[in-house]
Amino acid sequence: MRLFVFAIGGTGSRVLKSLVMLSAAGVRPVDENGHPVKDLEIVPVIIDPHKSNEDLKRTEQLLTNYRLIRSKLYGNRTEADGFFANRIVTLHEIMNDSAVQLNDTFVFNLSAVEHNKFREFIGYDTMNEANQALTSLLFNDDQLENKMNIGFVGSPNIGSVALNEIKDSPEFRAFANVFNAGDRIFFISSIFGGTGAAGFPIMVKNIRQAANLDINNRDVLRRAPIGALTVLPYFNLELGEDHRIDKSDFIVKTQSALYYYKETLTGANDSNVNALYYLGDQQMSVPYVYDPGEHGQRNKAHMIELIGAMAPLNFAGLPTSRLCDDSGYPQQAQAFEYALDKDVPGVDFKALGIDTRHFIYDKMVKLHLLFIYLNTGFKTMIGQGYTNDKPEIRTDFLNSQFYRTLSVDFMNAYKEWLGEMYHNTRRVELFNIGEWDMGKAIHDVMTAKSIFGRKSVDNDVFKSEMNNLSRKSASNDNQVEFKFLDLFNRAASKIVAERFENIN
Amino acid sequence: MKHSIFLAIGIAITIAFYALSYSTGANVFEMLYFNQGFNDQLFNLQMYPVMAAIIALMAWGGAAVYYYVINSVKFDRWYHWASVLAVCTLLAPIACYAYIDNKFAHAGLLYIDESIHFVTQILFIEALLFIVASFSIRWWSSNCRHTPFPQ
Amino acid sequence: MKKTFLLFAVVVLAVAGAMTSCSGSSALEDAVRSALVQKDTTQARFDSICSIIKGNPREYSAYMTQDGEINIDELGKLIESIGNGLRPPMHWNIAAYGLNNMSLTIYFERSGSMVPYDAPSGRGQLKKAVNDLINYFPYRDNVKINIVNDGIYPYSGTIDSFLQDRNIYASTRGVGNASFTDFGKIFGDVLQANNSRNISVIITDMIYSPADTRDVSADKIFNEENSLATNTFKRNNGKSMAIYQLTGDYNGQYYPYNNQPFQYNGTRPFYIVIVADSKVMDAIATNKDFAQFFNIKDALNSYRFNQGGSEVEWNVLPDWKDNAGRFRIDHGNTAQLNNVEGDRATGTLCFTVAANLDGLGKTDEVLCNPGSYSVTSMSQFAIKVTRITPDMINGNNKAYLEGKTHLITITGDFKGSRDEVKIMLRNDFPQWIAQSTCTDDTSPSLPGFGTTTFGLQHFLRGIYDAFNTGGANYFTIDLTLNR
Repeated sequence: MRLFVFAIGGTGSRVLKSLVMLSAAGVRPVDENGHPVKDLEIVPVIIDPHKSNEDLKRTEQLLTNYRLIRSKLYGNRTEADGFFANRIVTLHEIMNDSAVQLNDTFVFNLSAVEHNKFREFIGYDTMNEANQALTSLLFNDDQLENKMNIGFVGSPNIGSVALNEIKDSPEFRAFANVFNAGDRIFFISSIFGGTGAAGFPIMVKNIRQAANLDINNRDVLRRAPIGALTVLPYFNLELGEDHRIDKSDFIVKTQSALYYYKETLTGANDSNVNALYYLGDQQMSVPYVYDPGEHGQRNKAHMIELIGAMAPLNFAGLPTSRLCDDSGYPQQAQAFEYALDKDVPGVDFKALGIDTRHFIYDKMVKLHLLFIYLNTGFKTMIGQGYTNDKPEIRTDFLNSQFYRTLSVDFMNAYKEWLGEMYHNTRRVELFNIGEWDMGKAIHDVMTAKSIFGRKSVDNDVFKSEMNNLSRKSASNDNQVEFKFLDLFNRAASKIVAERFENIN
Repeated sequence: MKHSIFLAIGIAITIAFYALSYSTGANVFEMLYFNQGFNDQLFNLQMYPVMAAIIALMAWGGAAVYYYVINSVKFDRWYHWASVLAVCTLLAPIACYAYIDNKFAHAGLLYIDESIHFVTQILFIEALLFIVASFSIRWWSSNCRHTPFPQ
Repeated sequence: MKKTFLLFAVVVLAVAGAMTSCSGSSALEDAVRSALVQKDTTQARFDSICSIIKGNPREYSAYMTQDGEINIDELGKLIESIGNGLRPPMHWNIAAYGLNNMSLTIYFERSGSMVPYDAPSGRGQLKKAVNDLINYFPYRDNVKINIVNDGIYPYSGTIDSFLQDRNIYASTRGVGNASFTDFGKIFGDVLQANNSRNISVIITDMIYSPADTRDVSADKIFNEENSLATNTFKRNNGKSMAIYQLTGDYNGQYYPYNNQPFQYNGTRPFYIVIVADSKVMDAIATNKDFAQFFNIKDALNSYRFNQGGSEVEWNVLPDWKDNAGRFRIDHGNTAQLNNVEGDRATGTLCFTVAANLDGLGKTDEVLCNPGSYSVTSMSQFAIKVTRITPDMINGNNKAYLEGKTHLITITGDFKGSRDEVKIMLRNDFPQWIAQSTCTDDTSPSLPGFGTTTFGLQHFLRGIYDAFNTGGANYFTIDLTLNR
């Protein structure tokens, strides 16, 4: 099954980043029986004309790194267990129509809109007077003069016009070509901004009305199960006189959009969107710096994005029977909400609901332990213990692209992501930031008791466990990269289960 | 399979060593040190096999302790292994000397110089057998199988 | 972890099993080895070994006879095999221990010329000697007494009555025909009656007096008895015979070979002859329990026949004060010395062999006399023999000296790269026999009448000849020297 995730706007990119982190930790969608969904491929498509947006760039780089790491670990296999388990691919990687020219990137090419002012895009100057007058009623001068390569800056009325062109793009054709029965579509967008708020209903409309388009698989697309994460206001912007995005507009825009969604997407008789995940927080984030310019928004990662990233995974695990009727047509929309177990300013694992802990706790902890291990212990272990088993991990491994990508690029991003969430509001304190002692790394979770106090968890414990596992599974058939992370994953599973307090 | 062969070879060497401790013509102990009267007494009092057993058990026991009891990542460097080797190599001659001294005392014999010379040779035998034992059993140790050097 | 322990257990079991199968010595073997190493070859030690066998008859059935007794031959073989594996090889003749409850048969000659030995006026040395034999025999209940002259007749009394009898000849008057002594029949019957559990002792004056020797020349009689002796003993090759010469008071009629008796009052030699299987004789010669029985106190001379095959326990001393030069005793063959070199300063090689010669029944006059030995070697080695004294033995040389009686020191210039040294104690026909022999006993005034026996040499020579067919040495030590 393929899950096409359209991440629209800045919020889409940031949620996608959290989804990548969860995937790196090995969080996989599970079906109603608790089994990982088989043969899952996640195809993220970032839709944001604001290409210089820092959040987009960071997410794209993260996805690229993820893809490189995973391909070294598992090749093209869809089935994997452990770190980087979910296969994340670009449209280009899976498309089979050589007639369509696409860049091998996760970002939707919006070349048609990104270089123009909105007035140029709609041909304002070529309109007759009556149409110009009508247009001026709908769009103010700032909006008409808006250069769309910085996005729609909180103006869904612009986005809804501009993004309607997507249906004619090569990317959309490629998407339609590779979409098969059984695949699913998920949208991530905010409801209170410009790009996301506008792009999501436009994209849904185009997919559901595929019959009117000149593309392949129209019927399949028409029946496709569609889910969406609609993020309600959760962040603040610093106050400013000339901000075109104003937090005071957030609630108004949200209300308007919700009405619109009700009318077009999730109404009583609508089945355009089958599962809609609403997510928001009344407690606003720390104020972000408003920067619609060349550098773009660079917002701190937020708990909402982490929770939101679980939505597409949850959607992927929903049984088909809850999404489609017996004839294969989409069922009426279902709404999903999320609540913390404890309404606290600092959210740790214990503040998350039990289902969430079951879903992510072990895996997140393992990723964090890997992060610490790579930073504190691994290099010194080259030439010892399990590293000497076949296939041997030698010092040249430290210079490999895989290792550098994993330990530097990816783990730095992870560290940054954790840090941003920690310093945000609500504060996410899953782990004790800056704590290199593995045994003290999980917030408010101690190591298990032993006869002599508490059990220790450190690099030596990992080395010992990995030695033990390696002895049983040493094989020339494995790649060094797989051997290393597989050993660590299995060792960490055992250590987390045996050496930490059980909070599940 | 390769490791099992190492184990089999190690056992064979140890058994051969033990068997040679019985031998009159090519006694392994007498190849290294020989003083007729002293060695004849060791032979007659059947001390060679006992000493061979002490040496073999200390070598295999020491190696087993290192690889399967200590078996710690904190002690998986070559010098940790060498330390255990050194301890066994020192303890074996001391144990043999104590044994010889005790047996000779009961038999009313006194061979102090010869005994010291003799047990000095045991240092080498013990070290050798410890290495043999190490290379026989280390393969299945979870943490120290690559000690003293990688497989 | 489980697998690891399993593996370790398998390894330990394999090694231990292999070691056990290598060692595999039984309690019996350990006990024998211990006895040999500790030189504790006593009856008590033998008994303790026997108790091990009897305590586990199923395991040690090979060392038991069908009637539940110890199989001395098999046990002896085991001891020999273990002893041969020691350095130096050690031996323990257990034949005597196997003769538990062995019997003693005394053949008391009652010829005419024997009667005056126990005359009431004499000191009774003959009777005393016989009484000592009976009293010192370890199993007195198994003693039988026979009277012999023309035949063998059981003594009608008890042992006690025999011991208390002050004139045994008077009380046995009328038994057989005392007028002549048929050595052929006596020795033939004794040798026939003797078995592996029996020791026979003949009390005799060793005067061959066949019937009707009137007008027969002495030489003819001598030749006759010589042939008779050879013939009789040749037919009983596995036997051994020891003869002891004693002297006793003699008061009465003497019957010379010419049948013209005369009265004689003085001393006369008489003889105690012990006959037994060779193995039994070897055993009792070295067994402490038989020491007083075998080493007859008042014997003037003695000689043991059929000792040519005697095994003498010996070993080269690796370290000894007299040693000069250097050598190394070969492990596989202790009769071979390797790396032999003379002393660097003098070129002399000197080494010492410790041997147990007491079992030979020879005096130190013989044993310590270099003239009694023959030494053959290319290097012309000289020999010196001394008795081992207790002060020579210390803890370190105990294994080499204990149980040994004499040191045979070999000295000379070792030449060439190899030499074969042969040390032999010659089994010469004893001179005392010739000196104790007379060819004319017709008058008490003849010189040496009181110390000689008519025709002794001829009869004993016949026995000597019968036994000494394979060489005339008591023992031979063969040594190989390699440079």
